[in-house]
Amino acid sequence: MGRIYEKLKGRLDVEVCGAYVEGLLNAAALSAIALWDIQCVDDCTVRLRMYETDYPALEALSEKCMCQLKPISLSGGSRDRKLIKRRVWLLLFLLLMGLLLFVSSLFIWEIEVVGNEQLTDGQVLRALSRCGVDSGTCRYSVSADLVRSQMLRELPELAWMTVNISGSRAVAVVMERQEKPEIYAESAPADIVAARTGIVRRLSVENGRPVVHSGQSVLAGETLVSAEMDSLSNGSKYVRARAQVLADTWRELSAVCPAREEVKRPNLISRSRFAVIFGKRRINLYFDSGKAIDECDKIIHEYKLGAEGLFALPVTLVREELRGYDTQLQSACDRQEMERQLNRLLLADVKGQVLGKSFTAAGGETLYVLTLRCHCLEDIARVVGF
Amino acid sequence: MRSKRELPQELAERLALPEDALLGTAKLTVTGGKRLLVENHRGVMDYGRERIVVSLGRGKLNISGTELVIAAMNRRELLISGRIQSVEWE
Repeated sequence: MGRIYEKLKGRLDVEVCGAYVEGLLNAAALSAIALWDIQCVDDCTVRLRMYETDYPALEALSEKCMCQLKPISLSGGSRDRKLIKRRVWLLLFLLLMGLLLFVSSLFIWEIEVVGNEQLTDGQVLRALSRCGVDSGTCRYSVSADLVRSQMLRELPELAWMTVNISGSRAVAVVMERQEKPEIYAESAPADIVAARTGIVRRLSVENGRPVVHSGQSVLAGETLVSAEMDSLSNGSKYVRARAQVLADTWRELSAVCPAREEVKRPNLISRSRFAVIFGKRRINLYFDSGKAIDECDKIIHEYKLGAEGLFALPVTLVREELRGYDTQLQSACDRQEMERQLNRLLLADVKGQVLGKSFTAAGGETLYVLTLRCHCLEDIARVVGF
Repeated sequence: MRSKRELPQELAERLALPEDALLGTAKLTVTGGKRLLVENHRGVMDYGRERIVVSLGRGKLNISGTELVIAAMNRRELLISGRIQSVEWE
């Protein structure tokens, strides 16, 4: 600040000639004219540095002391002040922008939600809006404790939340409630049933009473190992059946896709149009709000004014890019891709090994169907409690 | 019996007050032989690169040296920089 003040006052290098320059120095000191870097050039000449604004006073004194002044160089001062006067509108604009920035920093213009997994940003933002935290809310009117208690009532899925406000940016930190895990009783009686239809190849029972034998065909859901066992003491007892039941199973997976589909071919027609959003009010800078091109993709680019992570202004520039396209019919099936997808589904489903598989394709003009048939050897035991 | 002129000095001595503050007597501060601050001066009587004479009201100060420059000057203080070789009080 001091430097700016000195720059505006201006530093002037002056050469003083006279028979008794010391007299002028003394008179200047008595008149409170600040002088510095006073260098003796010869017996009758000194060079000194002073503020430009003091020059007229020193000039008046020099006449009394019979000395001559000769300005040598000037830095800052009137020259800079003239420049500022010439750019007064620019300065006023900068001042106005600074003022707007200050005023806008008193309000929240950007809300970010972090920590949500199940809840969407929209759900949290809508709940925040109902609790009084919205774009354009005065930052000093938001009480984090109050918002927290209201939000926990609004969204029962929340375990905890808080709102951190820095500048015009509010960050809602949420922590979601975790579902209680299902309590699983290790020793509760349970049967083992067939998870899939198949032919039992090998049965290894650790606990329980087997009700099927190797080579027997079973349907999905049919009991394989019963929890009810004979007891020597009181007739029967119930245990938690444990067994591995390896069975031959067969699967059939199908993928269907249209034989032909319309695909977009971008043409050279493209257009951009602009809009400005102040707070929540959108102002379109174009007249035809409908689509200007019959068939087109609309890509919206939004540029928020402000410094990322520091502050945000309530102004968003929007650029809508319309890219035209033509449609064309072409074959839609990609057999290799369909086979890959079917294989992926099969591997995710089978809990054993695949012994053999084959693909068959069928299709007409509209649909193409690819079927995967496979033979697997897998454990079909599934524990089912009472 | 002391004269009227010596009365303030006598008073400062008795009350143990600093004379430079009370009476405006000159005060010299020399820093490393390169800077000399003269407080309560009465003006510059002679100014050259090798000799500066400063008026102190009652007496004068002869400063000798080389490349002497008055670095700053105002009504009360005078800052001299350069290679100071001697300071003589007359």
